[in-house]
Amino acid sequence: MAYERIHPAVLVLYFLSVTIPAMFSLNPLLLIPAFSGAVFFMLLTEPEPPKARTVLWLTFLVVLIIVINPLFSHRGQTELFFLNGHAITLESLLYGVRNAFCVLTVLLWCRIFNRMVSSEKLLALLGKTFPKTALLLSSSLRLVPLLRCRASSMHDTQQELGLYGNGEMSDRLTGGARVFSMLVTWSLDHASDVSSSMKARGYGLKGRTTYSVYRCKKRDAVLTVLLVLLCAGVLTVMATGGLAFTFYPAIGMKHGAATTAALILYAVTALAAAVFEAFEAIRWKVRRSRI
Amino acid sequence: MSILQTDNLTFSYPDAERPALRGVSLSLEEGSFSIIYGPSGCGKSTLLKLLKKEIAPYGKLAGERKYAGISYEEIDARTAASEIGYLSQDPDSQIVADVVWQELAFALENLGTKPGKIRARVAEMAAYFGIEGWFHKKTSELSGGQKQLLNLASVMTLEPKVLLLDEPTAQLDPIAAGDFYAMIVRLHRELGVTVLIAEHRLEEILSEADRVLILTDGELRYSGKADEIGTFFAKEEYKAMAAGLPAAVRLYTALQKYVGGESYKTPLSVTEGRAFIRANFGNEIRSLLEVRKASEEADGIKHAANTEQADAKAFDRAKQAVAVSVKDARFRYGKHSDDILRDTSLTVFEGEHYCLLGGNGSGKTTLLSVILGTNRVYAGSVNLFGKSVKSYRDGERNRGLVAMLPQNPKDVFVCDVVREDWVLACKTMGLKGDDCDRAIEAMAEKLGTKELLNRHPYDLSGGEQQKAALGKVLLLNPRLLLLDEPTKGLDAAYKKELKSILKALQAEGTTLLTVTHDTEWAAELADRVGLFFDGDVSLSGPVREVFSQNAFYTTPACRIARGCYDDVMTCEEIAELCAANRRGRADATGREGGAS
Amino acid sequence: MKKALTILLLAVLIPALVILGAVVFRERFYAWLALVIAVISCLPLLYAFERRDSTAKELMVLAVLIALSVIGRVVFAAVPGFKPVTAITIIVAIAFGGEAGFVVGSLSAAVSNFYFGHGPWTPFQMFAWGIIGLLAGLLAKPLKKSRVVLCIFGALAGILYSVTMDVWTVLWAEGSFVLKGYVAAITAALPLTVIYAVSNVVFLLLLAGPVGKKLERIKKKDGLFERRNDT
Repeated sequence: MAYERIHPAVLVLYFLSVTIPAMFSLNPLLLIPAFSGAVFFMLLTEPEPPKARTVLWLTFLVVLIIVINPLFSHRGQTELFFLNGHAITLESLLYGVRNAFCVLTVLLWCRIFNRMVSSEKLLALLGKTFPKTALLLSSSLRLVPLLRCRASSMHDTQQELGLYGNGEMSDRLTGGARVFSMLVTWSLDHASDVSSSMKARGYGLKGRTTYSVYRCKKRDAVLTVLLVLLCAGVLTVMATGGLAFTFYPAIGMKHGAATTAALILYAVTALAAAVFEAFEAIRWKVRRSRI
Repeated sequence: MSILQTDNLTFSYPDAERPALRGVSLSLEEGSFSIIYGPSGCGKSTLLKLLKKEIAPYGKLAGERKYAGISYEEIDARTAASEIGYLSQDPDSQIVADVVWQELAFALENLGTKPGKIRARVAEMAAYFGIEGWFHKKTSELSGGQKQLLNLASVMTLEPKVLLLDEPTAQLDPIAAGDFYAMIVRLHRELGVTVLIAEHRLEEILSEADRVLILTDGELRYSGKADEIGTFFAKEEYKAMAAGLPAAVRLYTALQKYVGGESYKTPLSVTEGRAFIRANFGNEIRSLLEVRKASEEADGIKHAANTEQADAKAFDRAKQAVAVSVKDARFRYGKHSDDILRDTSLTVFEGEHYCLLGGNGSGKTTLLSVILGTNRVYAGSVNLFGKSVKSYRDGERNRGLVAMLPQNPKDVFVCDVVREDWVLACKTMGLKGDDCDRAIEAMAEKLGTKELLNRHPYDLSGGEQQKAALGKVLLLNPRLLLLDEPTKGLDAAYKKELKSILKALQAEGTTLLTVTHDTEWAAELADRVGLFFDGDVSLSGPVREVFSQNAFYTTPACRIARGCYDDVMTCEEIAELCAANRRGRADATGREGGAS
Repeated sequence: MKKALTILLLAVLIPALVILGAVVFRERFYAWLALVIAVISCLPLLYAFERRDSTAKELMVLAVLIALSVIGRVVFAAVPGFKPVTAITIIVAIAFGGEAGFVVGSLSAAVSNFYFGHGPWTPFQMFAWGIIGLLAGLLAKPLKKSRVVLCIFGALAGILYSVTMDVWTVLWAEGSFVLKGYVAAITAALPLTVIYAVSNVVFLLLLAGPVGKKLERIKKKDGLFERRNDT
């Protein structure tokens, strides 16, 4: 993917400049580019279509949020119908729709973020300001698969040795606790072995430095400046109330050149990732045809 | 110039009765390649740790340690950390970071190296070690051999002048061990690194060393050239230690009395071993079986050890009943992964010892799990003693039918005392109170593990741990015992003990199925062997037949004998045949002499 | 110098973020504020941990404990709410002190979300589990003495976790903090809260004894985390 070549800091900045306005502004017009940007990007980069279970769960979540809001909030002036003596209003229904799409959009962007900024990249960024925490996280991430492997091979062996009895709940729980407790012993021994290897390689000397394989290139600097400018534009308009949107008592929105400009700037931001991927894909095809 | 030096070094662990090291004096020349050889517990690990200042154990220390002429007490912390590199045997316990490049940078970061310089050095190391292909990989996804190479690369980023290696290939399969040692040899030759390796298995590495140090009971017994050690081991009191030496050396120690004199250079490799035989013994008689037959006829007695008959007997007995029958089995771990077992078929007869050989990750362990019943095949059949493995009820299989000694004996223990774990096994078998105590006492007697019962399983040495684990498994009284790599990391003495335990078990009627890389082990114990390859047992037959026909996958002794003798598998057998040839020559010259 | 700079940065950063929210995101100011508080309250504690010299062993012991609690969360992922993370955090905090408890709790959340997916909920989980660890460390003495107190604390910790996460749920779905909505969310999450509390008690009863003993032993043997007594 083309985003692999961009510095992780830029990727994080991009993620924040898309999600923060979408999350913290009420204006539903921001959600249109944000949502479509996420969908386009995923179409371009994800090798497989989403699993049916994921789609079902997201649909359920959206419906739930849409339904719940009008049930609890009866503000708004356009009454649609009455339920148990409470008015269900169009405004609160629409507010629910906006919230549901906001949640959905942010969830999609989080999924993109998790794919785009791997733990490896995130730790490289964290290492600049929190080197020890980054090292600790890196070690923990390394240990999770190792300890899981130990746990499952201990569990399999114990099953054959009859530790879990006849599989009754209490036998299974006490057996499981025994295995876990032994896993703790093993892990603490392991911690002690690894720590001697760390000491042997000079851990604990004064003046430790932090290294990251990711280098800031010219393109990253350009992208950062562009992102900051786009973001500043959107935030300035937000701060001056240009993107204000009200649902209660009636739906209302600011108009004007500033609003339009902010919406365009935000749309450019939100769609940039997808456009960049598409552009790079085309460019690659053209270049390859010359080989 | 001597780069590393100890002077009368004596060391005792706290609360220990005897010192772990006694009066060890050694001096390593810069750029030398030395090996410390000794059984486990001889003090070689302690010595290496004492030579690495940061991880030196606590205890009472007397004597002097010097690096480049500077006493260890005065050596600068940075110099000590960077110029003396140390690697231990477990590849997993030396990895700190999640991703390969983080691990490579780790040591340099500790030393406070500037990021720009780290970038250059890391790139250099990755290129030199051939790590580029997995530079961004997770460390947990690497194979054991790759992990150990990464650990070595990580140490090498600091440009150490001395490398201390504590049994670095004990946890690796033979192929990975070979690759690792090839890299050590390269580092030594190309960069002039001083190398000191502690090992109890020298097959791959002895011929590279310019010096061998032999350590037993904490004392240095020998220090000299590699091709002179044959004389040392020919001495009666050290003969038992020779089991970890290369086949050529063992052959030499067994036959030294014939060549006479200490002047002869000890053969170290297969080629030298073969040359040694041809030069001194010849091969007028090529078949061991003939020799044995002839000697029996001469004696008029039937030896129980008659090889041909023993082989035939095992085969006959085997023909009677089938213990394990796997037919056209197919298995994979997940729906979308590849088949590990591809129409696998295997038959193990009741009462025999079958050894399954084969490369790492070829699916041997998976085959065991399918026989054990932890994994189910999706096609084909698995039968145990004539019944499908599926038809045994849960819990029925592990009571008195089939049990496995896993590759890592630590998996067997869940209690803080060995005895408690054994009690759990008794509980599985439904034994209580006195019955349980009696069973435990009997088992401890049988395995010679009485003094281990009240200790924490993790405090035991590798060999002790395995015996304690075997005891727990055997308390389930299995008719079929599966063993997964039982010799991994074991030294010669424990191997010998385990061998006699398994032989006794087989004599009692237990069927044994072993998965191993260790061809010598198979040659000494198995009735039949099979080679697992490409998801199936591709070659199977009586052990002598298979090993004397295989050219590559066979015992080192067979390799030495190849083209010279026909049907020998072990050094002892070659020695026997050599002796017979020598007698034959003597007789011939005798006759000639008489005629003239 | 570096320390002063960081403190200055924090002193400027916090009000700046709050003002930014008040001016720019005034429509959803509370949601912003909650997120900022969750993130920022973790920073000083992590920063304190960062400044302290940890031995290699302390660091690796923390790493294996984080990994163990992450595995616990992964193994029990199929049962909603039933996970040993809180129990392990509490056990660690009792043995090694509040800071270790905070680090294990909050970083368990961070690491496990590399498997479950990161999102705006990550800081809230880090905050909730971290604070539980910190509190358990402060109350280590009474918690060590009596199993009943330990179980009550475990149950309360489950409720605290649930209530903290509900703040987030409401702000996230509702946008502003409405008490009625919050009460509704708490009610809706009641079954989950009960599972949190029960699972904490169950795991504490099963693990506090054996695991706690092991941690105490290694602490005594190697003199780990001793400086916490002078702070």
